[in-house]
Amino acid sequence: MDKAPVKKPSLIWLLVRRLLGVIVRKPLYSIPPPDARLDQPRSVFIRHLDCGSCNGCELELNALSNPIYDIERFGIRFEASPRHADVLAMTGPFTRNLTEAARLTLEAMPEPLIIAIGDCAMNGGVFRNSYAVTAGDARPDEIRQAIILEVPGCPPAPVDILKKLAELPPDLSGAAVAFPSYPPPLVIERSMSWRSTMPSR
Amino acid sequence: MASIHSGIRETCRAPNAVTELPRRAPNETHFVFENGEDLVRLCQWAKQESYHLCTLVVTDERQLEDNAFKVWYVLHSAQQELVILEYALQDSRQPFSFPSIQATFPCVELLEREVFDLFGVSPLDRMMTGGAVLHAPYPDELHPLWANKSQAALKARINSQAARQPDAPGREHLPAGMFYLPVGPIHAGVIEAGHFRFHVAGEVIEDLDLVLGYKHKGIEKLFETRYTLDTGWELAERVSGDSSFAHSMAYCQAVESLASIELPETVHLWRALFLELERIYNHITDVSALAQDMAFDLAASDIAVLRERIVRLNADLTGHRLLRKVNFPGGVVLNSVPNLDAIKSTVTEVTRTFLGLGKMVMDLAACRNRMITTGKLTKCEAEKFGATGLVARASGLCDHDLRLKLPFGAYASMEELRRLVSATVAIPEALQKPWANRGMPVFDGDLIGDVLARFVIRVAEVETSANIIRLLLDRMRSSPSFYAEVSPQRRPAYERRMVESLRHVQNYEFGLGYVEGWRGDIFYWVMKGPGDTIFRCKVRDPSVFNWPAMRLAIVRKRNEGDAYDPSGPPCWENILADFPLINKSFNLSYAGNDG
Ligand code: SF4
Repeated sequence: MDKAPVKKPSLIWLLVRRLLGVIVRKPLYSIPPPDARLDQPRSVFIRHLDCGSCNGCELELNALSNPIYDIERFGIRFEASPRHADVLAMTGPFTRNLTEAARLTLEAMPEPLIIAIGDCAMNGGVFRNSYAVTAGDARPDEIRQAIILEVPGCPPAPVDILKKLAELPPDLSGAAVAFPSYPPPLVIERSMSWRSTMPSR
Repeated sequence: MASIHSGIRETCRAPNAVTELPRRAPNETHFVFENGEDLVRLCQWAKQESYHLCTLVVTDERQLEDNAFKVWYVLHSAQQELVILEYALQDSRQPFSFPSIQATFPCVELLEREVFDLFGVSPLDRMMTGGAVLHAPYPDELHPLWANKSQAALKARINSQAARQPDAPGREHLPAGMFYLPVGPIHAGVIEAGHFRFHVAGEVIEDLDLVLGYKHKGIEKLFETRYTLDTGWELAERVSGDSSFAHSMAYCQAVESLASIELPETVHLWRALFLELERIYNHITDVSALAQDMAFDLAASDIAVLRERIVRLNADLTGHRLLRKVNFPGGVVLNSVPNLDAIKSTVTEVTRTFLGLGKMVMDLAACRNRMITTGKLTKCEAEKFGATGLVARASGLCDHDLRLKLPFGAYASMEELRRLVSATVAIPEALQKPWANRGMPVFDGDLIGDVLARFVIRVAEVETSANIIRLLLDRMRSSPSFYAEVSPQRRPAYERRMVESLRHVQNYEFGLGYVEGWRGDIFYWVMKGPGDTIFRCKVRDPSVFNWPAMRLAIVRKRNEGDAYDPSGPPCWENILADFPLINKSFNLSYAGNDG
């Protein structure tokens, strides 16, 4: 078939291109923000929580980090620990085997807030009625009550997720009542931003 | 190679107790065994003749004429031959035990544990413990796949009964200086749920316990209770999201073989095209993720952009980024007239850029160093544990590819496609030639099953897939009806034909569907119930066989019972920080495995 030799792009060229992009402030690939609200300054740290998805939703969540959607430019970031997260991105129909792990994750959060990603997380999707999932209203109360946003789709396309995330308030602190967390309570004064802790000049 | 008939003559003590049923397809043989020991002996013979195990299926036919549970083993040979071995558990002393072939095919272990949880039947020669897919929240002896249990009854039983004690993994005493490191089931990245327990000595991973099954969604029961033969594709494409098309294709083939329907050639061509598109975008994703794990973010993001382009091409063609809702038993539909030239130019351009970037990652000394000898799975281990798909190919089992061994769809009818596929599988032998031309790395010997080998195979397969797609497009272009047969208007006709042919199929017939997805071979076993219901649908994802292989690739190699020896050969060790890289290089599906 096509036997033309493949030329290797040089590392220098890639770097130069990237640098040029930074200098002229024009991103190389990224799409314009799908929603004007995303242009506001915001800081939302998201922790992903898999509750038995088919891994389609994970693919799209991962795609959000690629240079095209580049979610971090909107101040939204995927975090590695629930302790540092503002909100959980929950995927999947909530399998029984994961109930305990999901509960513990929620308990480890400073404030229990969940975004339900995908039809499964909303109502069980195609897995509704199975003996092995507790979809929709059958989920434990603390999980159900913590859901603040639902993103429909199977899986929702990255743009749809972005559009939905634009509905989040720019600052999530104080958005929910404190959840009885396990001892020792890691209570951090939410109103105390790092600025107010700096000695005034 | 000897045929299965001579195997039966050679190995079975009572050949008369083996009945051959009439063939349904020229390459398919079906035997009913009355003697379990003969079945085991035949499997030993088959292993020596390098047959591979496809799947183990158990059906609850206690309400039917045979009045028993049945066990079915499906094997395939390298000569495109499919063998089905059937055995009814009619021993009244042990109605719940079956002859196990685990000693011969160790890869069947995960399937056996799952069967024990779902049916309560266990191998004759071993004690089983539950917990493979039904963890602590489920009561003992639930047996959800028994034919007489309804979803409502199962739920009532689960809710009424107190949960079991969580099955804590055994804590044997570790030697001084070693400790356990539990990770999961919820992980730090955007990945799926599964629990790993490392036994570490310093940084070296000595052993690894895998606890899967967290994502068990009861898919097989759902097939039986909520879906019918013509709607089951909806669930099949959600068994493992990244293999949506491969799974739906395997399901559709199973139903089509059940209904003995011949499809128009165009449908086969389009299916092969989508299958290769899925392969391309997933391999690109994995290569990007590997580059990211090696902290080469620059290349990783450039490669991720390529992936997005293919995914958008999917969306243009089918209306869905992951190729869902295009495939159904009896046909394929696109949502608009495709522009064949645009497909060709996108695929060509993407693969060209991708090969360049892949080459760059491999040529960078830092990356190469990181990948070489990390997570090594030797050929002999891959063979023994039945690794499939790209994992097996990277370990040197280079022709382990269903597109060659058991061709389906367009691969069966088009010799040229198989030739293209075997051009990649021939890499290890001809490593010096095609790859040297492109400046790809040249090894001294075989592909040795390390992370680098899996990386190389991924890059190589993307190129092959692009070649296949170009060939398919040329073929389509030469036929004027390339769109007419896959236009949305055809859908009702296809569906009607399917329903019509299913009506003539007898109850409790079964069909087999098999596809080489990007991860490996996928098998579907679909048995028809009364009307258009599904009596049993067994899904076998390639991850089921590759998880044990991945465990082997990670742990320090040693013989059973060897004491910990810090002076062991260093290239066989992996440290904790290697785990994410190795895990990514396998990229197995938790969802597909847990079902
Ligand atoms: S919503 Fe769809 S894509 Fe997401 S986990 Fe459920 S089935 Fe998979």
